[in-house]
Amino acid sequence: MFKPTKQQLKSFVIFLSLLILFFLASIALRQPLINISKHPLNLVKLIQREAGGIIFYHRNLVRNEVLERERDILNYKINALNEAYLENIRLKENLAFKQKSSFKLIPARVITRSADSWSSSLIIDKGSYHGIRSGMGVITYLGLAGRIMEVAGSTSRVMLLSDPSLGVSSLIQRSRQEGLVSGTLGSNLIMKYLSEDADIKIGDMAISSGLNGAYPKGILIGKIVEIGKDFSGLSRFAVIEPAVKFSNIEEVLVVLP
Amino acid sequence: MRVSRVIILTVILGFLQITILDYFKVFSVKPDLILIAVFCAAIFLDLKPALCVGLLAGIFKDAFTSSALGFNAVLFPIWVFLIATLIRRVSIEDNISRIALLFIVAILNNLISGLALVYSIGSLSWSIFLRITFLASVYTALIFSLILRIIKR
Repeated sequence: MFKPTKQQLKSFVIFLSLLILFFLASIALRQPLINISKHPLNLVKLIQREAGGIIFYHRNLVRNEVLERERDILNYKINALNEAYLENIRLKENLAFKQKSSFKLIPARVITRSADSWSSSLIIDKGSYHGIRSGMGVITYLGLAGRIMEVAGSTSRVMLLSDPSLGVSSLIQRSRQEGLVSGTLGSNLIMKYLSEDADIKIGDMAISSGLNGAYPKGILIGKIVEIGKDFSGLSRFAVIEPAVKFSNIEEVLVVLP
Repeated sequence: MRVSRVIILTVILGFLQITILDYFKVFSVKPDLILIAVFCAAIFLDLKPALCVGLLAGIFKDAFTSSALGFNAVLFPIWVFLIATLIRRVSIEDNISRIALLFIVAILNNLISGLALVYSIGSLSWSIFLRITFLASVYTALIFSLILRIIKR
């Protein structure tokens, strides 16, 4: 049977220890070595690239032109897809709202907007052929938008809530305080005819009261951001930040009674 | 300036007015590009074609506003007539005078539109009235100066 001598055993232990040491050293030195060799390797790579660029100049030029053309086509496709994606989100939100709500709704697209600063209206692509009648309420998935004022065969004019000619009976959601909301031709709405002791606070939400029949009860109008006193001192008013951004409405829902 | 060019300008400005201009609102007011087109017609064309442009532009604007029907269709030809009459008596050749004249016309136009709105709805806050009257007129005059530069090229 093989029996190692003391000398052989000593040599084996030294050899094994050196192996373990090298193994540990290689682990420990791997990163510093990479770091040290990074710069020379980069230099080599740079020279290689530049030389390749000079040698294959014409091929690269042609390839670059082809790729630029492809990039332009892809950019165009991305833009088109992005628009479709955004439209999809909006329509999904509208559909979700339509499915949630108990009343019948007709979705419509905005064709044009008011031509002057003295009125706030839209023209939509649905009219009497689609069952729309004058006086119907118009909403978006964000809240109340306005009312149908004129109807033609395949278009209708919507007077937006931001127009001062339109008044909507409304309620403060928390206290059930009633008031009349109308537009200011600006970014905010105003709730008028609030009594001196009206229970209303900044941050309260205004909703439609459903009293005039055009709109269902509970459609969000906006949030109270300011409360003030009328010139007469007899009543108060509240400034409302509308839930709907009137300047960028693209699709609306017409409420059928 | 030829009639066809003014008509093309009117059509382009008219379509811009009812489509993308809401995205360029400043303090909730937008410039009146249709009035600019009418003004261009009044200063660059003879009276008859200018009156036609004014009338068509007025009808176009009335179609896309919720104001009383025919309001702008009446007002715009009147502006054309008054501007044309003024130009015949006083020479207005430089751009600054033209911009100043448009600013005055825009203010008067906005005052009349605003008063008509106040009459129809009963009341309107003074701040809103003044904001729209003056800011919209200034905005219109500034845009007109840009359009004049484009026309010059």
